[in-house]
Amino acid sequence: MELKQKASLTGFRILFVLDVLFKKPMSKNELLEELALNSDFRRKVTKETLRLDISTLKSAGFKIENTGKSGGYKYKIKRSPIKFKLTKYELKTLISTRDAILKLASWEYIIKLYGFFQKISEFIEDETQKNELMHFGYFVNVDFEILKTLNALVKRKKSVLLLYKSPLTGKKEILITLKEIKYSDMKLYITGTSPDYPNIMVLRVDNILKILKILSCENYPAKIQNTPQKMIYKIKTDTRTYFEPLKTEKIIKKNKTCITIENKYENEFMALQRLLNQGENLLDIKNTKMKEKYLETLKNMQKIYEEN
Amino acid sequence: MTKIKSLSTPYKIIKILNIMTKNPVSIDEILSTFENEGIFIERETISKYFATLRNAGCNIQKKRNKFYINFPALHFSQCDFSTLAEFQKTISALNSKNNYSYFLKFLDKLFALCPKSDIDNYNIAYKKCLTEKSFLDEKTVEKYKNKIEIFSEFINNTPQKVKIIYEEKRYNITPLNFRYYKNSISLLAYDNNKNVNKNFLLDKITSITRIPSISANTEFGLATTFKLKGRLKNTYILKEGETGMARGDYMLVTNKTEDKNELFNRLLKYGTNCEILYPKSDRENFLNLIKRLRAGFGQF
Repeated sequence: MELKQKASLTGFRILFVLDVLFKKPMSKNELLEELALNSDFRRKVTKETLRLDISTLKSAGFKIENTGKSGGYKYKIKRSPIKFKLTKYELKTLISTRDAILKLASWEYIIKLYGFFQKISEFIEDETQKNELMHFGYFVNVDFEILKTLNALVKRKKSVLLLYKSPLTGKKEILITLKEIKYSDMKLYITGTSPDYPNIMVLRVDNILKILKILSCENYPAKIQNTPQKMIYKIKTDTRTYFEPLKTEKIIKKNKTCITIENKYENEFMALQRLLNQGENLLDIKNTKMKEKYLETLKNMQKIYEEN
Repeated sequence: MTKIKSLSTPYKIIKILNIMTKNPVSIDEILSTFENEGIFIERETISKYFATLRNAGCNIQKKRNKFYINFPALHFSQCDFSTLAEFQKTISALNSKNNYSYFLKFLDKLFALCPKSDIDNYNIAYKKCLTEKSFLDEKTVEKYKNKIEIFSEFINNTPQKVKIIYEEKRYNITPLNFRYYKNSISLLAYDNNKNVNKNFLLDKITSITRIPSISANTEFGLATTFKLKGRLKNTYILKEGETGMARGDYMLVTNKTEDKNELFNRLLKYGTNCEILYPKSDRENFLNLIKRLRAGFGQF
């Protein structure tokens, strides 16, 4: 910013302060240093003048807060009257594309998009539009700091002690050697092995409350280690929905009427859900154990409807 | 607490900034706004304020004798540029030309709040993004472009009835929305004859004819209410078109928009943690589905 003639110095100063605060939060001293660096302010700007400028911005509709001791006593613009409005069609286009992205894109990109929308939503005038734009479904409940840390740890196959909120049993500590972060069925999961649980553990990321400890070199295998189980199943070629094989699946045969799929699963529960989700398209299951579980589940479901 | 002098120059300049970033205004309109607050300014002073705003990086534009400001309130990082570029690429691929033009208008509004250097940097990021591979399958996108264009027109405007031929059968439908898969796109539509929502894979729709009549329904398809318990009570995330209510040790969910077949298949995977309550026809149909599935494996 550079002041030329026929302009107001005091007006220029307040716009300078506003521009700096829009870039990032700053303490009083940092703002004074920035002002001192600009040659247009020949006279040193005092703390009192700066305080007055901040108050003027507040009275003009800017919500400026002090971040306090933990934030380094910085001034931060929380709300600005400089906003824009979206039309109904603009919002609909943004939302429908966001929803497609939630289905199709990687979780890494979704997180970036969430951050981007968060940034721009501060400048949207209508609160309802803002809320509709930020409706990222599952991701609204995810702690991004925990996710970022887990992502870094997964790459190094580290072991961690997690505080986890189990939907059935409540809070508990889980020791796990991390394997991968999976985005499946529009939810984020972390997988790994634990000495307290058989096979591969699958934990929902939004249920992880805290990373209690990162363990340096331990590698905790599963309590009972099984190699991935193989399941072959056959489905009808559905004319209404599109069959998308999972990462653990491979289409081994396909013709006009049916598709045969091989699934190398590590988690039995998710493999069972996969079979149930096929509905009437499911023609056959070649794995005896899974077939029994499948039929047992259906039998128990039928009981619920017949008893009530 | 120090009293703010509402006559102070900084206050007036910030007020002008606020006014001009909202809508294009004439000098007279600016003067009136201040007069309404009991503040009187000379016309010449406005020129001085405009000069101050320009010095501060505000791009004051003139449109039919009215002025508006592009004030650099938004600052994007390189990551933001590549994220937005990928988003723009996706919008261009999955939307009609009309919808894409709405996005471009949104982009104009967004960049009105950015420094010019950001706009230049974004254009570079977008050009680079176009040469890179994205999560969209390009062949799929090309294949469906024409049908997306046609159906988008019906989805955007007042609910419109359309005749289609799908696998050699005729359907009278009201298009509602698109459903996206990695290598396919389907149309969720209301079947006006069967009174249910259904999915139609776009590549199996062979004929599309507009019917000169608007759909009278505002709510399509009969809602299905189901009960979720166990681990699902606390972890279930409502899908699009669903409303939910927690009740003691279970949750009640009402689904209005999903293709019934798809909904039933989804509820099947919830096993004994899910029970359809209403309507009675859905409850009976679901029970019959379970029986048929068991019968298919020789169990009765």
